[in-house]
Amino acid sequence: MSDQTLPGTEWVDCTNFLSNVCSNMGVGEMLHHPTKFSLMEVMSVIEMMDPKMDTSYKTPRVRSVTERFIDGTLPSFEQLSMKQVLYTMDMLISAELQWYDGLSLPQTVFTCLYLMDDLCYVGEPSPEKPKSNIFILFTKMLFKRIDYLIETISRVDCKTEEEFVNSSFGLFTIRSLEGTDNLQEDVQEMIQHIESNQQDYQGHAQDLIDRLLFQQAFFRSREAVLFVDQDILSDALTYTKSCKELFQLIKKSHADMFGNEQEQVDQSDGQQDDPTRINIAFDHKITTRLSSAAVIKAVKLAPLTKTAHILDSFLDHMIFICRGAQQLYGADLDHILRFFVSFSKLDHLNVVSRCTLMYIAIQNEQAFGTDMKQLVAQHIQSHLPMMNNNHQDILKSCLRMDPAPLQKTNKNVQDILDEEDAVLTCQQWVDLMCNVIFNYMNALCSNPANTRRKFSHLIIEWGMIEQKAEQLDLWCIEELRILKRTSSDFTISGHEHLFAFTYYCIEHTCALCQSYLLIGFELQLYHKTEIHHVLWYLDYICGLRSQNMTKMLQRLPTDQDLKMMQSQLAQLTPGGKKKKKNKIKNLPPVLTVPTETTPLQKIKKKLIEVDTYISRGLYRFALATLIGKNENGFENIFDDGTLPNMNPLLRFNKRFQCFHLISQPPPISYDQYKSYMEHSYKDATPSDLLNVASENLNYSRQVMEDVLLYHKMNQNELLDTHQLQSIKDMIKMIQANMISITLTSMKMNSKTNQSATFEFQLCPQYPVIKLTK
Amino acid sequence: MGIPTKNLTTSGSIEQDKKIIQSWVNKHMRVNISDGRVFSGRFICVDNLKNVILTDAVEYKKINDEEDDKRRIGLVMLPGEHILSTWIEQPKKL
Repeated sequence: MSDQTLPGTEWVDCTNFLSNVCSNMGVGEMLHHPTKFSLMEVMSVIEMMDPKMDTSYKTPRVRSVTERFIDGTLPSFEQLSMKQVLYTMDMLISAELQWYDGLSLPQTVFTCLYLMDDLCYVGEPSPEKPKSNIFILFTKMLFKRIDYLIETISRVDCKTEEEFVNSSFGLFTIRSLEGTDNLQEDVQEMIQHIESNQQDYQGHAQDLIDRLLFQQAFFRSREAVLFVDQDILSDALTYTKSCKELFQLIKKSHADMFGNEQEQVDQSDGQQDDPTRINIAFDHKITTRLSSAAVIKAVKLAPLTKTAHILDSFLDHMIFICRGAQQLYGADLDHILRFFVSFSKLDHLNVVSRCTLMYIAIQNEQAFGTDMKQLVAQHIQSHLPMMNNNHQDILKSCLRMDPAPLQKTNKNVQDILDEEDAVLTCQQWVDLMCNVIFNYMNALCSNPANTRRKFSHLIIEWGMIEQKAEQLDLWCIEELRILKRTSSDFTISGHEHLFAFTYYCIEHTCALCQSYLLIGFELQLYHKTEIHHVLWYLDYICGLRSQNMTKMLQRLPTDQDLKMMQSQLAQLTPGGKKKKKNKIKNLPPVLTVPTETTPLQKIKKKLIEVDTYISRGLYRFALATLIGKNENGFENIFDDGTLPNMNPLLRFNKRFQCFHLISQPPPISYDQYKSYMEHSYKDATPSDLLNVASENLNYSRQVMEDVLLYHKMNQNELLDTHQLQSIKDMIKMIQANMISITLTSMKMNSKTNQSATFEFQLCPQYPVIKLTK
Repeated sequence: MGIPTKNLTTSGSIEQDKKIIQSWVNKHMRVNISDGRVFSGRFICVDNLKNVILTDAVEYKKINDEEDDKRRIGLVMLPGEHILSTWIEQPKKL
């Protein structure tokens, strides 16, 4: 140990001195630097003698790889049997998969002793060392792939530090990557050599070839992802499929060779001195020898039999991404976002799959090769048939699609915005939307908890975008010549289309609010005493969304529409009496007419309706169970002994905090909610509520069945797999709730002291409510 | 161990002694703990239970009489109850 001190200094024993001073200090008193000592530092400290943090605590000393070579417990790579070589390769594949799952490289791949010190324990390639040559080639492809993966993931921002550790802690060096330019040729040569010298490989030549080809295909698919464009994606898809096939062969051969020995392998882990055990190349405790600022805990690695499912899922995700992405180049924004949502619902997503999609999708501020501004403009065009000429012109001007100046019809413009400001505001508006859509995609590529957190930020961003939209709409109003189509009978004034941009923004904000609340159910975040708050808010948001969508899907009346309305009006007034302007008796002012909706738009509207009626029904059901519990009615329904310190006002406002930072949809405070409840349900009995709940749930089920029928009529192209599954889950959930409502009505009559439980097994998005003891 | 042994004595005033300890911040300190390991690092903090925090800490674990296993750890807290001895790097007094 180094006893060296700085020149002119010496070590002084301060044991007793320190003990005396500390014993005279007050409880909690500390002596430290007055300014450079913060809570952050204290929380980062590693506590010694604590088994969870101290990796050296009460553990026997782990010998270095050099010591093991010298004393012969670790044989040279050439001395390994073929089974040991194959097991090492399989274990490296398994280790890499566990790296995908959140462990670090030193805890996984670099627990392979032969990888230490730049493969010096394997040696340089040489014709006399066939096994070493194969292993060097195998690991070169592994290292290169790791490098590509780290490069891909570091370029996107949809992972947390806990999910993926991209640091190699100095174990990954440039030397490991030397000579990787001709890997494909090297692999071909190696395979030919193996095939020509099969006798050297003790009957395992084909197993070696499969593993080399697998590694090559895996490496090539990763390389294709890194240098992605639409054409290269087809290569990525081909290599990934090839990987999948080869992996099935590897799994089979692994099971045949090591199936019976797996138990022995697990038990032999501690026997470091046995050079014949098949997992000789791995020691997870070697990690503890690493010098590192962060604690790297030794973790026993799982064998390939237990991690194979990670690779199967990962390859499936890659195939899904490559296949889907190929079709999204040139697609519209709806399709792109739908793909992202479908991807986010896949099972067993890991951080690598999610980052891969984000990386492939977004390159140079383009989504699948199309400029985001263009996608947004097209989306607005297709979703706002109600835009008037001014809306169209300003959009085109700000996107420089039509360089002609805005056609002003009214020179007396009030100074809300002048023309240049309007274009600038529109540019800012579109830029903000592009940014928020990128962030939305990013959120969908994050883990569910992070997705929810990002959604809360996006809701606030949409709030700001909606304010800009209102500014633009007001400008358009000032410029707009009120649409006056005079006839001998009536005048129409159009108002609805004045707020086209605002409605567009409100739709997106409401959709995000809805998703934000539903994710909370999937994560089971809500306490049982606040689920009915969430259901009520969901009902409120869905209702607003539905109304907003109806307004959006309107268009200005054409001349033909006007003629038709004129003839209808003439039929109402047979005397042909002239009507006063702006006053139409027996016929409300015709503002706009419903537009022809596309099948996708129809389905979307129906699905919003489904959500509205489900949340409405479940809310009433939940409320019925709560009222039934307390004879005092509403007074104590928020009281819960498990949360004594959180009063309902705080809990409600905290739960819907992000909604209070936007103006549309109008946020609801706890007092407003309570007053609504007291006004609407003051005299409601549990059985009234249960009846209404039943009706709402029944209606939503009918709508869902209509949706499924409509989907079938449209050649099964309107809903994707996850949406179909989601609808089926919701139907099951509704059926279960209907039964529960019937049972609850019977229990309510007996006035037993029971409380509601909320179960999410049937449907992750909505609970089945049951009354239990 | 072969290091010079010089003991620090109290000044008689607790406040004065506390200031002395305060002056040790960022100075080199060595701590022996009960399982035989030695930690060497820069002193950051101590509390009334004699828990010591060192930064840039290096852990030395004895392999044999001549050799130690060395490992760089970083920011560590050494529990007071396990501390056997502490040594502070001080200027040599002429």
